[in-house]
Amino acid sequence: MNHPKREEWAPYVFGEATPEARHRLADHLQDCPECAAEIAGWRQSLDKLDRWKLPRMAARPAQGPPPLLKWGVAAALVLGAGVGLGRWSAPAVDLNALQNRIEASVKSSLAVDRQQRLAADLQSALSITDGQLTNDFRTQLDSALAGAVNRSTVETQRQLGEFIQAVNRAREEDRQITFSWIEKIQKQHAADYLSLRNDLETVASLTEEEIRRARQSLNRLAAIQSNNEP
Amino acid sequence: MGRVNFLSSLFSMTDEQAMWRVQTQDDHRAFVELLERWEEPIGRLCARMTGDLHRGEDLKQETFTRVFEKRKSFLPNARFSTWLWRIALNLCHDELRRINRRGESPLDADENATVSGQGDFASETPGPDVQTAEREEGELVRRALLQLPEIYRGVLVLRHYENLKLREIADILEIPEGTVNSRLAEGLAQLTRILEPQFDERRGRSDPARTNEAADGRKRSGSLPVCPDDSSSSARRGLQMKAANL
Repeated sequence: MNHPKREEWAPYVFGEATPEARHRLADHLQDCPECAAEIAGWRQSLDKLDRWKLPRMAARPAQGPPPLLKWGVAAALVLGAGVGLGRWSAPAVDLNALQNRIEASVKSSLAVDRQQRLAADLQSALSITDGQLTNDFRTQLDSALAGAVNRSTVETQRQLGEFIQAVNRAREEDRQITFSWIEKIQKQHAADYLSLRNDLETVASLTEEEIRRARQSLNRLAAIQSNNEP
Repeated sequence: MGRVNFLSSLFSMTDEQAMWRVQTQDDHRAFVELLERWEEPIGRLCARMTGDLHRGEDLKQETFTRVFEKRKSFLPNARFSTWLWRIALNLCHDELRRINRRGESPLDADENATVSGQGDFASETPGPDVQTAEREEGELVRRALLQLPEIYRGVLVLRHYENLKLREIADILEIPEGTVNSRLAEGLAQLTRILEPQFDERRGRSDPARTNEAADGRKRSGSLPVCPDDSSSSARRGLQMKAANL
């Protein structure tokens, strides 16, 4: 009997044979007890391979820190590096601007504080003398209170205005400086241009003179030669 | 919103896309994704190839280290899994060569490192007797596989345990598919010659009525040249010792 080649059985046993090969090999197994025994033995061996079970790999041996911790540490390192880099690369602080800002905010908070204290004092004075005070006096006090509030508001506004003016002045100054620089540079350019032009003109006139002289001497030479010839 | 999109794209990307990110941007998140997808199959392959769980674990880690080191050499039109299996198999070959040179025998590995049928299968096992019997059979299989030449063990492990297609195995090993088939056939034939008498003997021991049959089987297998007699008898000795300990 013609037995199929040995390697033909591998795709058959593992279920990857073509339909044609599958039929042919199955037919052969029916007629050939020798091959049938061998293939049955292979199939049993494949079943036996399943007896060797591995514990799940996810249960890692207790070596080193758990992965979450590892990644946590890595994240912390990266974060730390980022913060460090950020601090290192941050732009330098403009001290003047900062000072101005702080001054303005302190001033405004002081003004508010003053207002509140004044109001509180007046209120307490009011409550003490409530019984004795005439309506007149009360309106006077009210107007004084309103005046104080107005004054302090006006004061705040004035300060704000001053601050804005100062900023504008500084800006204007900057602009003027820039302009004067540009002007200076332009003047310099104009002067350079003028002197260059003068130089060129001088060179040109000198060259012209030189050419004229050369022509004269040539003429003279020609004259001498014509005198000598006859 | 952007974060959600990013995460979903991370989950749905193919191995090759993830590898591309690792390759071009050193994207650690993509690498972790690949690691999580593949560490278990690769760990299994390495454990089966070396017959040793601890070694398998070390080789698995080495494989992923190697993947990261060699990330630039991964070709854009290649299949990631093929490349990965190949790296892992090569590392296993190197390790087995080192073991052979040192004259160690993986057959006698520390028993804790070779446990089979423990852990997650505990709930399926009906009783300690059956559990012990299964573990002993698992040990027989582990030893039988280790007795096979590496080229046969490799194809059997990839095809049977990892369920890879024959074509894929051919790609991994860079050999023709016909060679994969003949290696599988030869591997199965040798495995059967080793395992059949051992299992017959076990059954004969546990079932006296079948002793004669088993003896016949032994006689039959005894005539085959490939069965390494000394190793199968050493496996038997190991079993007898275990039986004595019980």
